[in-house]
Amino acid sequence: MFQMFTKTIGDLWGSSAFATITLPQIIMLVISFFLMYLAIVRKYEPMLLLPIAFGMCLTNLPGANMYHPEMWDKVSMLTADGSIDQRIDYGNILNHGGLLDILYIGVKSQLFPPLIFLGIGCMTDFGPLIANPKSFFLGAAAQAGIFFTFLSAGLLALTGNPEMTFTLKEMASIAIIGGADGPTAIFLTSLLAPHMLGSIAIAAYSYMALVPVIQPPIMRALTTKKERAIVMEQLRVVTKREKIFFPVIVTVIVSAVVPAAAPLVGALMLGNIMRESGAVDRLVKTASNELMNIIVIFLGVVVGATATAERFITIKTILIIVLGLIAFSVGTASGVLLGKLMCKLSGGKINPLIGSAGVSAVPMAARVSQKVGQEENPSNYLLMHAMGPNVAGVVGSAVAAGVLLSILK
Amino acid sequence: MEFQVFQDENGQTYIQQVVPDDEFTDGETSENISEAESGGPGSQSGLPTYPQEDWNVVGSTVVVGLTVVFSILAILIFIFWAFGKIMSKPEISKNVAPLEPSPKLSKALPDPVQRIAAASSDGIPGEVVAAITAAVTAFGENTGRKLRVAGIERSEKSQRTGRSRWSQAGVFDNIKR
Repeated sequence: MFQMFTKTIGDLWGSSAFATITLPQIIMLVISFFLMYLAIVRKYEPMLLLPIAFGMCLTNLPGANMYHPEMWDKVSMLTADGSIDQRIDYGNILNHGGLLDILYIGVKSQLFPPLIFLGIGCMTDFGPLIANPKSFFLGAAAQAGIFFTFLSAGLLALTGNPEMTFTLKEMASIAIIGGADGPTAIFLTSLLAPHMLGSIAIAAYSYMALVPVIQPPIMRALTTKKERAIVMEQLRVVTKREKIFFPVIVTVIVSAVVPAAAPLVGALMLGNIMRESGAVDRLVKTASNELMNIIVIFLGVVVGATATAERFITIKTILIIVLGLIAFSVGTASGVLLGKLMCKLSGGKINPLIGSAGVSAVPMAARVSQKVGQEENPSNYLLMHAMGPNVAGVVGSAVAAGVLLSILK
Repeated sequence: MEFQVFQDENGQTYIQQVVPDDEFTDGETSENISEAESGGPGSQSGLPTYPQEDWNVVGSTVVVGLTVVFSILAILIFIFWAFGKIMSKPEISKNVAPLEPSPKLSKALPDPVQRIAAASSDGIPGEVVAAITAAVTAFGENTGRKLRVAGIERSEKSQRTGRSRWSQAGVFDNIKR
């Protein structure tokens, strides 16, 4: 009896996580606990960072079998007519996958990021952008960080070290962190470099949370006191008709030129026309609250689940974090520099601080412009002026993602 | 290399070869990358995989990317600039009848906003004067009192209470109820 008891206890111990856990998995669990701390105590983008951190914890628990990276390998099928078709075996995933595998279908099928954009569209007022369309330029300039980082990541190949060499698709996925737009980064990475999804999403959301820390020193370094104190003219009133036409025109133009950006821009603008039309209040309420919250939970947990120990604990993860910071900083700097140029051309009517908001990160980046502006002139209110480049950055980063996708897919 | 042979529900025979994901999943490195991705003969896109294989692709991606982003947004700027000009004008002319002040009235009552703004010594903008005057008028209408704004001036925090005027108003309102 005692022998049977000890054997059973021994078997239980042998099958438990404590006996099978590896050092990399322990490190990943510690990282996930640290991210949970940042989300809960420091309030760093808690809406997404908390589910991401918990997803990381779940996927690195040995024996939990909630996520199976190997199931997502494409299989090559040779059909009877001789043609070869490569596809993911979704039947196998649905039959034998874990909970997180099932949820990951939403990322792999490009379902979740556009649905988040739908909710964002419902909550975004494009009025400041319509009132001052020149803001689009600031939104475009901030995307320079994406392409600068793409180039920088490529230059690492000159080291000749395979551990530090990224493929073109990986370079694009890292570079998109500079757009400071989580759903766009997830959308592009899930298509081009899904094995980096966890690292890139964590880097993107961490930097978005650190906008108030990263941006102000760059903004102060590139502007003079006089420029920061510029008070901008009040924006004109935008008619309802303009607000309704805006999403339609943007969708048609962007999708016509860069069809790959259509899922993101289309969903964003669908949400916005629902909001501005005033005809479907119930849909707007659902898309911007319940639906968005559900997707945020699914997306966060699944993205965290892709950060398995063997994928995350690599030199490349450290490089992703460094390159992400470069992307973010260059995006901020290029937005401010174009803001300075526009300030000069307009005869000092534009405060260059609003250029930094072009990195999207809505509305945090606009708030930072407002805060830094008020440090020089307490009666200056730049928030609404900064919202123009801020929402233009959302459109700009979606277009940049579409361009990268069109070229590299 | 692993193969699987199976039949579907219709009796169609398939041979399945298990190959790595063509999207660089699962620890693929430069050593074990599949042919399709390496830009080799089986490459689907025909693009090189690594930057050192063709720096032209890297350079053109950067140039094309920036050009396309700026071009699209420039097109949108032009459209919305023109759109704003076209759309805002008819709406104003249709919905808002042009205000023609009665010569009698304008002589008797000069523009109150301008008058108050001019009277204020610390340069309060007309918009602020209009907003405060509208708020006072609305308050007067709600309480059945006829109120007139004689002047507006900025005030520092009350020396006695250490509270701003807004704060004092809030306290007063709470106590009164």
